Amino acid sequence: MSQSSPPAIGIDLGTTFSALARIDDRGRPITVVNAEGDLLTPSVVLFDGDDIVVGKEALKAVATEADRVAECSKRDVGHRVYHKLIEGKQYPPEVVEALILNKLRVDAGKQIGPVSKAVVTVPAYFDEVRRKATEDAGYMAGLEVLDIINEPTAAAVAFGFQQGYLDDEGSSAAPRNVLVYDLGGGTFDVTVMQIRGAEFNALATDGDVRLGGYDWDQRLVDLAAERFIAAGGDDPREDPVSAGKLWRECEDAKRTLSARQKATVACHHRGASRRIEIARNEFEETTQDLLDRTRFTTVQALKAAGLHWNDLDRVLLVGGSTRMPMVREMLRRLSGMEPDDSVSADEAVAHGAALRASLILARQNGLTPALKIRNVNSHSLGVVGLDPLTRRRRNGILIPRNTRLPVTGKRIFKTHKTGQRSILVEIVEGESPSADDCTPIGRCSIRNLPSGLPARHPVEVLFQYASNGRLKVRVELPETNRRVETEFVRETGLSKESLDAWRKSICGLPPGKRN
Amino acid sequence: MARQYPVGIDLGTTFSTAAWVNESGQTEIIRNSEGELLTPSVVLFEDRELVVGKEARTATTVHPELVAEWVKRDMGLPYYSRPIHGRRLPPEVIQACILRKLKEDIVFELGGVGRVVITVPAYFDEPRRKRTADAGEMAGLKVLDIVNEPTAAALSFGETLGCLAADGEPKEEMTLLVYDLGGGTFDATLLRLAPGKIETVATDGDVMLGGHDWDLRLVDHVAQRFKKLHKRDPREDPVIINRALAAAVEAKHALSARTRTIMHIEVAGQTVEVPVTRRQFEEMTADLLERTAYTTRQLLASAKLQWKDVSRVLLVGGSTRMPMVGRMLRELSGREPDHSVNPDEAVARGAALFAAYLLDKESGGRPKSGLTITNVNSHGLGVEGIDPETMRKKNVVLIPRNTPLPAKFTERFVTRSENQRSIAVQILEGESSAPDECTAIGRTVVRDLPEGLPKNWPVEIAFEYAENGRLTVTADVPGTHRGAVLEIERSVGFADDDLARWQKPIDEAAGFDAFESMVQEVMEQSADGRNAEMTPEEIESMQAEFGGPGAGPARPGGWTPFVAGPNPEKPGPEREPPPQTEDESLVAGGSHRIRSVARQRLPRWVGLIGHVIAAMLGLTLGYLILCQLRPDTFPFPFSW
Repeated sequence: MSQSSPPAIGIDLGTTFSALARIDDRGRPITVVNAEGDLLTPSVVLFDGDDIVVGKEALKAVATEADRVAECSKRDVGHRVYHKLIEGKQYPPEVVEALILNKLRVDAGKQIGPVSKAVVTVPAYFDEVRRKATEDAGYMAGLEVLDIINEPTAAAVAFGFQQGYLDDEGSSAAPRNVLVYDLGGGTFDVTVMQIRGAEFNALATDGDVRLGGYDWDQRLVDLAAERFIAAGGDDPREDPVSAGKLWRECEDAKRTLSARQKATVACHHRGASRRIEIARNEFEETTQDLLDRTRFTTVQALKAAGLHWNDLDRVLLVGGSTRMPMVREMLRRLSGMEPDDSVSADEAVAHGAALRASLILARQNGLTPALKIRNVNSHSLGVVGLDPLTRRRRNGILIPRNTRLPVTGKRIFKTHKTGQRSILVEIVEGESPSADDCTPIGRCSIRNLPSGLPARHPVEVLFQYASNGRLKVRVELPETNRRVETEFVRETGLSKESLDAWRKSICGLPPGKRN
Repeated sequence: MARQYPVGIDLGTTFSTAAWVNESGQTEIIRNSEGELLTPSVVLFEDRELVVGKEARTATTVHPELVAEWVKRDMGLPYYSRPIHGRRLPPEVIQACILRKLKEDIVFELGGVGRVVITVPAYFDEPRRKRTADAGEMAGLKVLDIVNEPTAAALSFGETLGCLAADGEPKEEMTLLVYDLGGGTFDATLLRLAPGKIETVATDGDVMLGGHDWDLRLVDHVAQRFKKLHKRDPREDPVIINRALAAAVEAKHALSARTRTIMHIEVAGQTVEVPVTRRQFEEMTADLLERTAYTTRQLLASAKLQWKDVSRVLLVGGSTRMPMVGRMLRELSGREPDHSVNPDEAVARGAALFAAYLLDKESGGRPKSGLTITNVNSHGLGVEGIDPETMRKKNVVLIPRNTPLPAKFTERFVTRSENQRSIAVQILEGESSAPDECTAIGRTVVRDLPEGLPKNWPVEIAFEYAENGRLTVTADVPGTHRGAVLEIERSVGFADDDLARWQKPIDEAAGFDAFESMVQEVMEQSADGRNAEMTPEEIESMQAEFGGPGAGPARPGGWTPFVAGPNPEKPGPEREPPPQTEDESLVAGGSHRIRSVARQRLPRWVGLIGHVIAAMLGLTLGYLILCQLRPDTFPFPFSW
């Protein structure tokens, strides 16, 4: 509030929890608590009549008012609509995300003054469409999205900052290979990065979209419910109220089990009340297979980066679920080193994003950026073409996966027939050579081609993939000097008009500047 | 050995927090062993283990008889309001258990614990402050000082603003209202902030008003609904009460974000669903909110300030998250309340800053930060005297409330009778002129006065109240070379045998069985011992002990106004009846009376009307009985 320049804000928009961090006047990132006093805000939205409630209270309603609650909307980002109806209405997932971002923005604004410019993070595996949708969510929430960066990169930046790599002395140091193991509430990601001073290069990334702390909770609920039944009670999972309470108790117990050897869960159902004691080793046994899945992915990612365990300098723990001792123990055995948790696992991503925001703001104010971030794309990008032999629709890849960004990919296609007056360019994302197995992300067309073009006239398609994961497409016809730089029409996503309309209803702001 | 960092502890009614000042001078909250920032102030006395915090809270709905909660509200009472395992425990002992858990977490984080500052509501009186300090000592903490919560909150606010740093640019002067509605207590304090300076202007509050009372209203709401349905009051069963309370806390939190919610309470296998809207909740708690508004208005009036003089309204305490609080203050003050400090953490952070300030001051004269903190006393301090006009005992206030500390005041009294040989000085805390409504906090006796001293011989009583809350009382009888000095020291130096004895059961990592037997032992030992402050049975004798063993048999002299008495036209000598001998009766039981503001505000005529109604009912009943027995003599007044 006393600052004249807008604060640098970083937002970790997670599947189950979100966090907002800012840079304080000493240049250090700190997490800003929400209106409930918590560092983390559950990414859950309750549509409560005219009221929209985001966070802890919405989470509580999940068990009892499921038809009015949207949770895990991040998993649906990129789709046209959220996977279920909410009070009979269809919402685009980015609108739900925007509501979460708006809550973070408003809560932080109460404490640190108006918040407008922010960096938002996305998982490394997020494709172009989902990045765009995330950016749109920020716009609808009244934020100017300075950049979209990958969560593991953000975590590595926060770590690098803490280790002093971003300072002048630190930046000249030898390259360090870092593995970022990110086990969040709903997703799991592993990324191998090379930090060379202030340069952050992603080498390989892999993950599991449907694996997270949530699955561990489910196992604990099952364990507790079975004990409750064994002690002569009915199944508490049958009743949504009892089940909801038990779920919260178990989630709490999971955290306690990270600190203590045993925890107790109070379970009430149909008149019976019991305190159920669960020991840490019991919990570890019942979730062993989940942990093995993360181990498998971790090993895969390391292989993809062409590294061995002894090439790694650090293993960084990100995501609240890495507080579980079993995760540390597993990584310790795999890597032979103590995993690094010097940056708070819940906050590292938001901190890194805030650092990124402060650097962008500094650059906008005419200072040279000290931080370089190099990403790779997690999915191949291509254009649909017809195979001249088989007459099948094929995916002609322009930018293969794990290419370092920013990049410009170029490929020459040929016109189909003589006198063709227009060309349709369909952009797809995916590794498969068959276009139908890939995700269509958009299309653009070039009309009014000069008449009398022969068949098999070359058409040059250029993809400009920026480091924030946003795509621009250019189509050129050599010899005709026709050049079309096009904002392609997306398969999904909201139009400018509907974005502005949502923005007005979500945060009451007029249409604003967009990237 | 690790460096000993300044640590501040917010020992709250529902949650406690600890913070420290790191190497770069910034405050950080210390996470507990469960990985959380706030530790529920709940103790579970299991047979084999004493459990504090989150784990203990899960037991409240299953084994309420083993759990102690909201102990802070009982501070100053001899016993915690509920027996644990059928045993009655002193509240400060339970508070010590909570502090021990915090201490363990501090040691784990910082590698050791130096000296700590513990916060109390500004409205806590001296005995409650002392017991809080005692609880700290029992938990094995070295208590540097006890500081007021609003002062700590203001310090934290200063940190946020950056006006506390010595090199920070000078910020404008501001008057700050700290509205602190916690789980169990309410405080309103006016502070003046200037560059490097924090000054308390005035403070007021209510030790028996907090978020818990809002919860109880919701429990009542549930109970009414339940009675309608099941013809039974669920409040008879402690398990159900606690379940309803848990549901109430949840509903209260929900209603801060939502406009309606449903409370689910399981009773005898059936789930009772009670819907409640935010408006209903606000209506059923409007009087509680009005009490805080009243206190806030009073505070401003007592400081002779108007709302336009208040530059900011700072919200502290989790209960200020209720939208009704913000709205009420907005309407009162005409400005948006300030959310820039975290209401849960501000107090602990400020306490840590205060600890750093005190340590700096101790080691090198001027504190590094160049900060000065001025406190006021929250209660008047006076001496019991006798009004020469009415011959009634009266509390003569020497240091009025809201006096900036340090302060020194002198008042002249006179002896009551001819040849008086000793004078007892009873020190009282409170605003009321009736000593019975004040808290006796100490007593001293001037003995062996020379024989033949005429009546109305002057006695000078001086109160010197230091910044750390230490009160020095000097009684001087001019021309006799006799006098007495009493130091009432609150926060430090009570490391006597008793505290050491208590420390043992609290420190022991054992369950209730061992704890109980040790508690028993300590209580017995203390009853035998001479220094009996710590055992509640012996609090009365503690008061007598302050002047030394065998207090002299004399009454305090009747007072004649010397400085600013209410009776200035009567300065001349007056003859008074000889003193009675049993002066102990004056002080009995003074310290363990709960003094709730709410109760004080209950007007006397309510009691009077009650008596009158009771008498009339009794007479009518008697007459009706006579009608039955002797229908001839006493005709029945009504025809059926």
